[in-house]
Amino acid sequence: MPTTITPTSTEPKPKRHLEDHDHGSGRRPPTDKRTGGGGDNENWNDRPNGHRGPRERLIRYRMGIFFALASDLMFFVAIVSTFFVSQSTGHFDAYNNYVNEWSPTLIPPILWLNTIVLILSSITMETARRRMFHEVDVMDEWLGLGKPITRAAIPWVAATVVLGIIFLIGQWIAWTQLALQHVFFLSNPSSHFFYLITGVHGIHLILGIFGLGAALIGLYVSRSLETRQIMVDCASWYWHSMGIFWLFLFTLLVFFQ
Amino acid sequence: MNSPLRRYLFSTDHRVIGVQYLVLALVSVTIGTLLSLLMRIHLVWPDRILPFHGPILPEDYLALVTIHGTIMLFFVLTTAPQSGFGNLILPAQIGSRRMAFPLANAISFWLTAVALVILLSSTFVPGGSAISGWTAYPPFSAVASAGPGQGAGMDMWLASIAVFAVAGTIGAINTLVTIIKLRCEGMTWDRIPLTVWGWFTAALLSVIAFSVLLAALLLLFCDRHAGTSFFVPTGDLVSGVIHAARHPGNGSPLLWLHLFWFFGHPEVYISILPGLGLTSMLLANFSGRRVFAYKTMIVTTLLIGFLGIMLWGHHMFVAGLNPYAASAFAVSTMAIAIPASAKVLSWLATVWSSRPRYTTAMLFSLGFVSLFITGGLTGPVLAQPILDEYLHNTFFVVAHFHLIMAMAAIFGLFAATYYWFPLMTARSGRSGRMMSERLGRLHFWATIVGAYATFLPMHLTGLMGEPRHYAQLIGVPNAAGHLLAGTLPLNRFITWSAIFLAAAQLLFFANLIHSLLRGKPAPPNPWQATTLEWHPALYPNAPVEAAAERIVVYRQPCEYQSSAGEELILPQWSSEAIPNIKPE
Amino acid sequence: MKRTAFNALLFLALLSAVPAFAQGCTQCRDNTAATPPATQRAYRHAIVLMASAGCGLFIATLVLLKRQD
Repeated sequence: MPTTITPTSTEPKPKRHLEDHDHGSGRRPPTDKRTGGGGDNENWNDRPNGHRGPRERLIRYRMGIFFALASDLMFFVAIVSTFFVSQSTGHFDAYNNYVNEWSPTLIPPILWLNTIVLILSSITMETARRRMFHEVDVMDEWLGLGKPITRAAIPWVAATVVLGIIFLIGQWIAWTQLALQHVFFLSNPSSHFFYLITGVHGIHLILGIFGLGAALIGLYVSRSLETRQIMVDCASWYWHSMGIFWLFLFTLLVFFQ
Repeated sequence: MNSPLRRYLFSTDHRVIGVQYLVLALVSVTIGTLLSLLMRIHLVWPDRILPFHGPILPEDYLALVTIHGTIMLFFVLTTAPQSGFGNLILPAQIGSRRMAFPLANAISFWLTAVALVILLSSTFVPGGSAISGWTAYPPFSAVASAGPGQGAGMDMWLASIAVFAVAGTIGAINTLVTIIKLRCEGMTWDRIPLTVWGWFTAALLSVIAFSVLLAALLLLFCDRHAGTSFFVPTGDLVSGVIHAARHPGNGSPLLWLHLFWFFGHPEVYISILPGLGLTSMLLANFSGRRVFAYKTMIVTTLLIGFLGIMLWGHHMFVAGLNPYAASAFAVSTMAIAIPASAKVLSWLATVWSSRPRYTTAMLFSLGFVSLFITGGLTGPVLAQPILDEYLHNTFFVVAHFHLIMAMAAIFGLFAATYYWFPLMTARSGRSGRMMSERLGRLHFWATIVGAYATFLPMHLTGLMGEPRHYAQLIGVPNAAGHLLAGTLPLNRFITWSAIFLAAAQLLFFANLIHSLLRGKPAPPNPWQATTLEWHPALYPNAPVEAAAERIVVYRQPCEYQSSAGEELILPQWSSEAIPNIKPE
Repeated sequence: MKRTAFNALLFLALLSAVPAFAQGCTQCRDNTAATPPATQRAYRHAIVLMASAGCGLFIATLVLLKRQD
């Protein structure tokens, strides 16, 4: 029964020579040029797939991460909707009194510090991301002058990881402070949400730190400039979004309880 | 690296993954069908003893309902059209040779397989499978003591669906990026085939909806194991005991319904949208016509998806929803009739007074149209809160969604299988095989007769008042017993029809096996199709050199031209000028 | 002018249709009557939030697709 299909190789065989600094785009410098460089309004987008300039793969991955983040946004929107409904829902007790047990959870002041740390980490991450596309360095790499981009970006990515871990430790301290005041996950509908939101966001940040770790390893290991750019770029968009999500969630916890 | 295991099992090639999804769906649909037959048989002959099991208890019946619904909706109607054919055909239809993220694609499939295994193995845990239906309404689903399967079985259900939601999201992201970024030259948005628009809209809905389901599952998990009460009201009586969560809270099942149906309704459209697109394309292909109002069809596909996001409340008309909210949801629900009717009109106009070639694929597409109309007409009826109030928990609703979602989507799948079988079986150096048309026609007629005979009478039993989810119709005391006894003759008929319908699928299996082994070799482009999956360079058996060939698209799909008795077929990749065509 | 009048009439006819008024089962009415306004408001906000977030993402993706052309 030979009626099975023959799989094609999914990644097109790279006919490029990394030693020769060819990025699969016709040995053009991997800078962000709108045109194909051939004059006469030559446009990357008029070319077939796989030949649309040095950023084609990057843009594809970036779009993928954006859709993943859009999906994640809906996750948080669902939780926030539940937050609003739970907040204003009460019940009738045995004496027919209407009770709403929601009492706002006091926000530990350390969360403000954490928020600042997270904003700082976003700034370091953005710096790292921009370093990846720094045109002079990109050209240096293309010409074969070592890996200046990696050298420039690694400290910033590492700083982001450190700041991220500091943020997570800060969140943990906030939890222990609340626990010292005998506010636990089960204490109140409001505390359910406090722990749930900080916890779920924390899990996302842990994933983000894994992503950053992968990017750091990639920066060391990968010889393809585009792969390194993709890793840092995607990790950084994820990280920024987690920062923005946190700002919204923090605002919710501080002002809308 | 090149071991058969790597090539055919853990492959990242989209066509292999597509076939894997289809096999998974085929296994699932077989299990799901057998479960539904058990239910039907139990309804009319409740005393039958199941071999190796014993009598079917009410909780067994509910477990059958739950697993049937979950398997069919998630593992058949979501995976087969969207992930199965989506992977097999989609890249070629937009002129690409691959999906955007092959590795993520493989991960998505294996997560789906894991989810299925978790769901099926829930039968073997103490208490058996979950019994709260595929919708898992709390407090039934939130309290372990609510029923036999609501302990470990429900936890397995939660785990399975959570894994499936993650897998579905990954797959949908892959589909979206592929469609947006990997189109070939000249494939502008008005030249994208309608099937691709169906996959696109369904993927978009998956990205939006699955994560909401995930959030709801997380909250339900907290209710079950962390002692919260997001969904369980205070002082709820469960199995005769006042349910005391560790924290008595103010939860409300209504909240779960909102979150679940925000996901659940788009999910329904995810399963039908690819079928809608495919039907348009196949009708046009086999009648040798253009798709009537092509751009409008694109818009209606998107509109069905868009409206699908904001009409989830019509599942909650009898769940204590605010009547004003109910009215709003009723209006948005009835608005869906506009794009849906536009689609039906376009199908009719496309085939109107043409001379279609009645191949099996065409027959199944026409069957799709028929079922879509029959099932769709009861939609606006159920969209009225006043009518829904009476009909909601009866078999009328069962009839409605089985016709429009289950049967129509399955007909779409059959059409796709008969149509694309040559592409599924082609391999390098050998052309694909056709499915047997004779067996196929027989299969079609048996299936459509069986489908209508099974699901049309359910409208009647529903109108007579037969409720859903009743494990037993016989032996109920008093007036209710009279009412249910009155539906028994029809129910016996339905059961026999269901058995007939299931047996008719043996023809399909026979055809499948026969055609895999000895099917007629397919000529290139056997259906005179115009879309790119039949492009010689994108064909699975294309020579290796073709991998470098540049794919360019010059026109819309389905440009057929019959002038002076001469049939002219202009595939999308043909650059010929159309003779004597009036500018639009 | 004639067209506007016709459209206005159509709109009014649509508004005066039965579904434009609140319909619901008695259980729904009782349930709603027993729900404090604050809770009803919260549900309303939650519905609007979820629907608008979903629709927003849907439209944003379409814009993205259109811009890629």
